[in-house]
Amino acid sequence: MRTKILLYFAVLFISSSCIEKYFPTIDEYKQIIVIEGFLTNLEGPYQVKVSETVDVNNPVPKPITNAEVILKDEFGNFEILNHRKDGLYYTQAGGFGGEIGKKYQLEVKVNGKTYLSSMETMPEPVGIDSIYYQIEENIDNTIVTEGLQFYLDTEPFESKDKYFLWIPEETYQYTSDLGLKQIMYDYTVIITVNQSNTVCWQTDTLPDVLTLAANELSEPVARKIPLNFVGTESKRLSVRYSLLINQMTIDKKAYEFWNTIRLQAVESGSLYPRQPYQIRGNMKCVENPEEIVLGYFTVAGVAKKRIYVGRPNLIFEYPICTPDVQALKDIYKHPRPSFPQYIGYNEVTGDKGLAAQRCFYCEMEGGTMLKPDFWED
Amino acid sequence: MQILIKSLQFLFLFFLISFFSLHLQAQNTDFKLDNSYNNLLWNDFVKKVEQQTKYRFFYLPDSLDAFKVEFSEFDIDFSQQLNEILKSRKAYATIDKRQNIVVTFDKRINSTLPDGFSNIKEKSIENEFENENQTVENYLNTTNSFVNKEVSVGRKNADTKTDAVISGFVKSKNDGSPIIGGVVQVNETGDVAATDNEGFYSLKLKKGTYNFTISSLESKKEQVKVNVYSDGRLDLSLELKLIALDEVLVSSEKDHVVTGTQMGFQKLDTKKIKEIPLVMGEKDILKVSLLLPGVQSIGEGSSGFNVRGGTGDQNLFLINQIPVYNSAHLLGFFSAFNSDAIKNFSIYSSSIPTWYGGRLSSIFDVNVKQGNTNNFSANGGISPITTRLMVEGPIVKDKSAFLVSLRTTYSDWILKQIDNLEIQNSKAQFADLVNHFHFNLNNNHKISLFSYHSFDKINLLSQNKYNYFNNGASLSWDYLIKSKHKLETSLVYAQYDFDEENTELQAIAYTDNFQLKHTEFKSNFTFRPDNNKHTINIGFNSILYNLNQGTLLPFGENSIIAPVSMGEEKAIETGIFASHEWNVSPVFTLTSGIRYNQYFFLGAYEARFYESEIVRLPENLTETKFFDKNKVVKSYQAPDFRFSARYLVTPSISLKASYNQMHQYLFLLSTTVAIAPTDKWKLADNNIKPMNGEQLSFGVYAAKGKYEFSVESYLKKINNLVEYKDGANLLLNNTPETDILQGKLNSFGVELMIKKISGRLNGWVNYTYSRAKVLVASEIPEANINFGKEYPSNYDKPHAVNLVANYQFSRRLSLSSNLVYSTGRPITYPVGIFNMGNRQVPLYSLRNEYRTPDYFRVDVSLKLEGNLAAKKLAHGTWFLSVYNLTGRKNAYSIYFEVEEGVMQAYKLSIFGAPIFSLTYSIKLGNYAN
Repeated sequence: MRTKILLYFAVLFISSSCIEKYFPTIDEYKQIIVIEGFLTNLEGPYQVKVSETVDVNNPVPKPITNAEVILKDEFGNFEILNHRKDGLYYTQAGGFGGEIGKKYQLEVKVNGKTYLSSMETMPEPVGIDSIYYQIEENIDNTIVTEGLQFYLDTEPFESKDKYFLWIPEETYQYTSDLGLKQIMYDYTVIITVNQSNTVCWQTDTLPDVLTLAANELSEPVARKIPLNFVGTESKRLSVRYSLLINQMTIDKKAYEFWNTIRLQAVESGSLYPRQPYQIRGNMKCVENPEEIVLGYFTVAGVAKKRIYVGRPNLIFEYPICTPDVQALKDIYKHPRPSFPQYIGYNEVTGDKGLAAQRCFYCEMEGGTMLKPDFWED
Repeated sequence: MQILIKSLQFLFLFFLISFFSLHLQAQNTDFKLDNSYNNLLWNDFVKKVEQQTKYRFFYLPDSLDAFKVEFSEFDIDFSQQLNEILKSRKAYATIDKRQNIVVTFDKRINSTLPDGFSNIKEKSIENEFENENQTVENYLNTTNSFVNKEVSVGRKNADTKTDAVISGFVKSKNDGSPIIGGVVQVNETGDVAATDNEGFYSLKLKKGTYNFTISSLESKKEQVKVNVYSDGRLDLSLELKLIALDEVLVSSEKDHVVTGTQMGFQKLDTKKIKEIPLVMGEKDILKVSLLLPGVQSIGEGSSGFNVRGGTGDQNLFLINQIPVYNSAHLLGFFSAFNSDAIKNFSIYSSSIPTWYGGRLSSIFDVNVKQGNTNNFSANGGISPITTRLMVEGPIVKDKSAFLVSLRTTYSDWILKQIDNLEIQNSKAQFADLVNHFHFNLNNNHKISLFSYHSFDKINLLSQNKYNYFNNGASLSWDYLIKSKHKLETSLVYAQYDFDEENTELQAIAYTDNFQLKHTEFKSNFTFRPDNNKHTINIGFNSILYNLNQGTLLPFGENSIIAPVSMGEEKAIETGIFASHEWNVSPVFTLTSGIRYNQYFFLGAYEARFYESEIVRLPENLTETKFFDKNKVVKSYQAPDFRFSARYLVTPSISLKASYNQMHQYLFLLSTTVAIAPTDKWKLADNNIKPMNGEQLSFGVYAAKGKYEFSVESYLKKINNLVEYKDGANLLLNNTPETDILQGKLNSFGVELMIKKISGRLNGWVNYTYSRAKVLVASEIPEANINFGKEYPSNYDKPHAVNLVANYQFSRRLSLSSNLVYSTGRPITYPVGIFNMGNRQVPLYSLRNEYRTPDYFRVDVSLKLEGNLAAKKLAHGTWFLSVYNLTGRKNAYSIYFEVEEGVMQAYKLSIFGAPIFSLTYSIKLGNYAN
């Protein structure tokens, strides 16, 4: 945000400052192994992701599927993780479990090389006191968007040497824009469906990485930590919205790693950018300690909390489908319309009209019609 | 009709007086002793001469009693006759232009004479000087420079030496201000003396008669015939050119380039940079330095200057001795110096005089104008950003004067007009004020009192508020001893304050502040022995630094951050220096100097000690020790050796070489690529060593006619350069040393410069090839930057070309243009993408492995002067300027965002379109005033 503000300031009264897309020649591609694992005090299965960096010019994901991934504790207990898909490896349900105060290590063997994390101790989790929201405005250039800003309060903790990582996950319920009246497979084959608006749920892990070092706090409790902002420009708040917070208590090294990940995204485009650099984690190659290994084996004490929010009393501005009455009339004049065509109501006028398929099927907007297990109406 | 008659009467009277005085002079110079004076007793002889002529005798009573006047020569002139008469008594007669005749004896005898005699002698000599000055004045007031008038310096037969030293001040006839960089040339011998910052010059000549030519860029050239009898003082004044047709841009004086001993030296004169087009019509003399070879910046809108590969905090900005710790307005878009009040400024980047110290790369020495000691005057102007007003005038006519110059913005009003909520919610104000008082107590003592104030108040979206204040004052006393030695003493105080309020996120809203106080005493004595061969300089300066690194406080009810005190720092930096400029022969000059630096980091301070042999981290802290107030926590001392040599191959070609050492005891805590507005200064302490640097340079210089040519090359090494660990965060860090690593900076370069200093078309073109690389390598892997590999500095731009051209269509209309090219700055690009959390993160290349696109810019400006009538109330100037005429979107930075799995690069340009501005300046009086 600061980035943008400074930039606008630079513009002052000459609107000559500008940002435009640029296509630099980067002839270099560093193919480097990336290992990302989480172990918490909550019940498994735990996930470890093994992949390679993606080429900037050809961003195709490069999962590593033939790795041997082992979770170990300080007492010699271990579990070999199974590869499920796309370089994601999991422990068995009811298998290896993280315990507060114990030390853990991740070992990954790929192509004859062994990558080993440092021994990580599981910190004691700090509980979440509450998650809440306020109606706020978000200003981006000349566009002001209303929406909900979510906040979090932790429970008080005993000492200030606590470090937090929050990865928010949202689930929202939404409906298709229109109820489906009829489907026209041909000029002659028209099936009446009379299906009302479909209902979907979409779950996303937000790209927001939020961190906090408690030693910067005045008291050993974190209050009103801003989480994500959800605006009225999308459907997310249109029916019912749920936010799940995984509050991970991590150690200082893990905090520094995640905080850097957070900062590198925030700082870009600033008038006063910091020097970017290769972020190092806690994984090392045993055979060649010089080899660059990316990623982090995060061992965290976790507390979870979820809240639900109904549709707020705000003016929503997301685009919505309207049935095109004229198009339905014109379809018979059209030389070769593509079929099928979908016909819906205009709820205000009651007129029938054509609309795109995605206006009737909410799954086509990314969600699923299966209600999640946890969902509370 | 009445008026006409009066005018005629006046004219007649004028001619009458002129004729009368001419006649008188003729009579006097023709006076010779005839036989009626022969064989008289001395007292009768004196009486007779005083009755017959206007001559008046001064001599010690009783010294010539009973002395009989005898002479035989009748055809030689009066003074020769007199001296012939007195020869037998080993006495000498000196006649000054007021027809005072002073009779003195052999020096040996003189020194033992009673007080009465010395009084007479002193008095008469002073009269003599005044008289001479009067003559010069009369002479120079005539418009015909070939009127054959003479001045005499010293006394005839005053001593037996064959040489005499003539020194004095060259001043402006218009306002009495010193003429700096003026040239006094002896036509017969070719000897040249340049005037210094106070207009002072000194020349050594064989006794005899010479024709002097006195010139300076801004004045009319004058000639004067000088009879040199003995050591003496000769003050000169020059009339400013009414219309400076052949204005030159850089006034590192014509004769200096070749004959001066300085290297890496440039002097810019505000008067001369009127034409250079700049952003938004703000005449910004400091930014002009970016058009000189060897001076670069990270980008437009950044405040730092990078001189010969040095970082932005390695430059010392002085305004009339006051150091300015934040030289930027509006976060760097403008410099904090109002060009209206600036007379000139000098950049020293290679052979730095020993009286300067404390910074590794350069000294930007800004000289503020002196108030006009003759007339009141005022001028002002409006540009799209600021309004300016300057008032000056005498306090006591011809003796003392004041100058006040104020500049302030009205940008708040403009911000409100912008159709952008974020901008409408922002505020930006800045102002600066300069007060300058100077008092010429007499010919030998000058006192000046100067103060400088500037502030910035910036409010971005009501979320980020910044306030900056620079305040400083200097009191200087210049004492001229025996017309040639000089003692300069000053007391300087400077204070830089900054505070910040950040409410971007309520939970971590904070206020922060910083204060630096600089108290300095300095004294510099320049000693010129009785010949032109040596100039010796000795002196010292001592600075007391008091820094308050600030306290970070939570702001607002919702802020949950804890207050953090960053502590206070105190230190004394002292430099004792001596230098010797030795004209070994007319063609070879050698300057050698030493500056001995002492630095004491003082309590009260809680010093932190870390385990050695491993990287400094908060967890490796072994001990803290509290030092009481004024106890030495850590001291550093080291000498700086500085040498330079100049060899004249021919009168217009010279070779120069120099070696320069520097030490620096404070630096900016800055983790950003460019100097950021929130950067704080930090003193070297028990953990962070002072930086030191050395530079070797070599150059060839030539001047021919209107052209000047120079090539300078340099090799520079800096040790203990302060660099920051990857991801260093200094905001909430009260142990900054744990984020600092110290390394080396190596730079080298070649600078080519061709100047055309006069003519309708004038300007310069320069080309620089330079590199600057940083190495932070250690055996401890964590103490490396960039894996211990060398990397280009952020401002390493190998090729740079600057063209500045001025074309004068007429006296009133001129066109000027800049053309700037440089290689793009180094930048770090992503060479891969990886996932963390649900975020795509760039994997960056080695530091500064890539470059932004090349930089290219053309500016044009047109200046229209109001009419050139000599008598008018006010003079106006229109100034139309277009910055970045081609609208090229030069990259300030390239940054990357991952969008749906694809890394997209964005180019940020600060001035990505042509910027037009129109400025109107007005001043009382005509063009030249």
